[in-house]
Amino acid sequence: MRFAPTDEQEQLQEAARGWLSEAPNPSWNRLITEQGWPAIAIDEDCGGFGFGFVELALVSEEIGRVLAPIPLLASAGLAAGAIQTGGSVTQKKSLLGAISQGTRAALAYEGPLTATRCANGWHLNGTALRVIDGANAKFLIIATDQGLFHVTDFQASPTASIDPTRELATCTLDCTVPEDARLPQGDLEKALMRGWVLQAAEAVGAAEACLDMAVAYAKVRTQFGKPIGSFQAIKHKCSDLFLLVESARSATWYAAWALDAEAEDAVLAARTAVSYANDALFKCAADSIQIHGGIGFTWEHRCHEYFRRARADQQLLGHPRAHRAAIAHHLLGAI
Amino acid sequence: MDLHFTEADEAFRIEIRTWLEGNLVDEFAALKGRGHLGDMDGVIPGRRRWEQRMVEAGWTCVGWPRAHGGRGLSLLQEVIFNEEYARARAPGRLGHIGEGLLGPTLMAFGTPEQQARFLPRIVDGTELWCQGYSEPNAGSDLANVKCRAEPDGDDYRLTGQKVWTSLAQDSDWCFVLARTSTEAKRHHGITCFLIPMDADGINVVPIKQITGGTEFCEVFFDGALAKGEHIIGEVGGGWRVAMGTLAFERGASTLGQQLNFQTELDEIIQAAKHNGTAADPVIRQRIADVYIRLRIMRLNALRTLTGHDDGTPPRAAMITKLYWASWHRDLGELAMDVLGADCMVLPESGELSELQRLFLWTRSDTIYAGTNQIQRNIIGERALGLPR
Repeated sequence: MRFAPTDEQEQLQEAARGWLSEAPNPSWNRLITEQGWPAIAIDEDCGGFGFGFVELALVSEEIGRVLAPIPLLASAGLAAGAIQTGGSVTQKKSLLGAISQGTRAALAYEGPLTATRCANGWHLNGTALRVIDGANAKFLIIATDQGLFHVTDFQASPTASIDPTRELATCTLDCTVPEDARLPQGDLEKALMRGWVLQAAEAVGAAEACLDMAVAYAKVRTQFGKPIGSFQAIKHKCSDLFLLVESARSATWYAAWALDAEAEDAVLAARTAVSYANDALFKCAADSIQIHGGIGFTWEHRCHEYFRRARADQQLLGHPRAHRAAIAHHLLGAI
Repeated sequence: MDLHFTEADEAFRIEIRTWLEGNLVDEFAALKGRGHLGDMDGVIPGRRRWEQRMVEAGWTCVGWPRAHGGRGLSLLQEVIFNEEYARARAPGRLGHIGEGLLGPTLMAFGTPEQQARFLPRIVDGTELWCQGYSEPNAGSDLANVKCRAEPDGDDYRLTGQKVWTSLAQDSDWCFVLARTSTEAKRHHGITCFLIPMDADGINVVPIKQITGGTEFCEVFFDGALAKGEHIIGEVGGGWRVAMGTLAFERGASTLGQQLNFQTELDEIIQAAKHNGTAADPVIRQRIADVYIRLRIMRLNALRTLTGHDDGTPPRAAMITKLYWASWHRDLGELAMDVLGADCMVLPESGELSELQRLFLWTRSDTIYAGTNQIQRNIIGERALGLPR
């Protein structure tokens, strides 16, 4: 029993933090050349590093901390997750191999998207909204009424978001794909839960950044002749945020471990983590603005970037309320 | 990161589970679920006999080192023990103040003679302890204790009042903070005494509390004799001792309670299914929310344990008390909302139902052992480094 990162895992996280402090807004090519993060949780026989989601989550925490616009969530989390859990051996080798090498991929599931059998395989049709990194993706995994498919023939147009650090797109399909484009064991929930865990990890990092900014400011900003952090109205707010950040971290670490260990409660753990962490991030981002006072309301200060991220992320892969509804279903049965 | 328990730990879990199943029978079966919050003063004679059964099998003071008569369990095994104890719905431990608070305090600050005199009688369950720290004007501001200790030869005579003393009416000994100097700065004039509760000049008055029970007492000292040899630490060094005790109270001794909490949540879920509120979308959200936060409470506790392996608990351990107290209070409020109009009505017995008692009792959780506000001060100043 050791519920903390190993020394190696800590080193990986620290290295990620160091690299991002040098390169907070790196190009995708630079990321692939220097770090190769998409390969972290992909098996070695598919061309990956052979680590797990714990390692990927620790790196994601650092991505979230600085709101780096790196869509690891899209390719290494959602698309790779769909292939890892639903793909054939051939699909895993080729598609996961490509993702490991830096090919960008995305998951499109907010349709409607339909798949219809035809002479040459399947006809895929429809429009998917809010596809993370959809405009840059070389291929999509799409969720249809007939399961998950791998497609390269699609149109994507970027969607402006209140959170400019995540690129969203509307993806339109009208194409025919061969039979082997279908993921034989495709399971949308298994793909999404990998996204939930990484999203939770990013939220932990971002929430901690909000707390750190607020605490640092409360130590130096003086009013009435004292640092505002000495006033309990401010101090207690910060303490409540600390509780949220650390609890979100516990939930996220466990959810990542549960994925790697194939624990029975992995889905529950992922929903727990993402719902708690996203709500925690919102509270941290909102209170950070309040603690910063007027300066927190300005465009120049980063507070608003976290606040935008916080609200957008609550919707991104299911609102915390939707996760709680699913957990209630587990506890209480259907309404 | 690896959350698997070792085979040895799993074997230990089976050992304690089997023992509890085999022993919570006959007269002890009736004790299941008794003696916990709101009922800590219940079924005392039966629980004394249960303590003796535990003693015979070596299940008291399991986390203490073997040198002090304990079982020398690792913190993790201690948690397993507490989890299985809760799972079996075994009765609230009568000796928990001696085992969890005074014992560790004596091991940290007591002389070898004091340890030899007192620790074995905590292990064998023959002496029960209560804690005399809080006073009417020294609650959150503990350093404001006014209870006086006047020298009398080598010994001291205590005069003053303590309050919120759990189980004082059933205890054999009390550990008391009293002022040995009014001249030294207020933190430096305090000394920690051990005093027998049957000493002349001690008067115990139970306090009837919000639930109608009497788990706490006022303790009045009127020249009661405390021996000089029963001072823990230095004369004037009581503050350091008290801080040590409070660290035990807020830390390790709260681990393993999550299963009791789970039992309470299960009862609320059953009530919701039974009366139809399980179909109310707002209630469903709230049940899911407390469930999520309970899961995370356990995960936070496991992280705390991991830190202990390296010597010190992680900074995150400071949230423990604030977290569970707030959660438990919310659970009590949820219980009433699930019961709906029935929450107003007493059962036919005229006594509070368990959920009604939970609702009323949990008002204390955010107050005792450091209020939520004091916890937020501690987190803000010690974990985050904010100025006082």
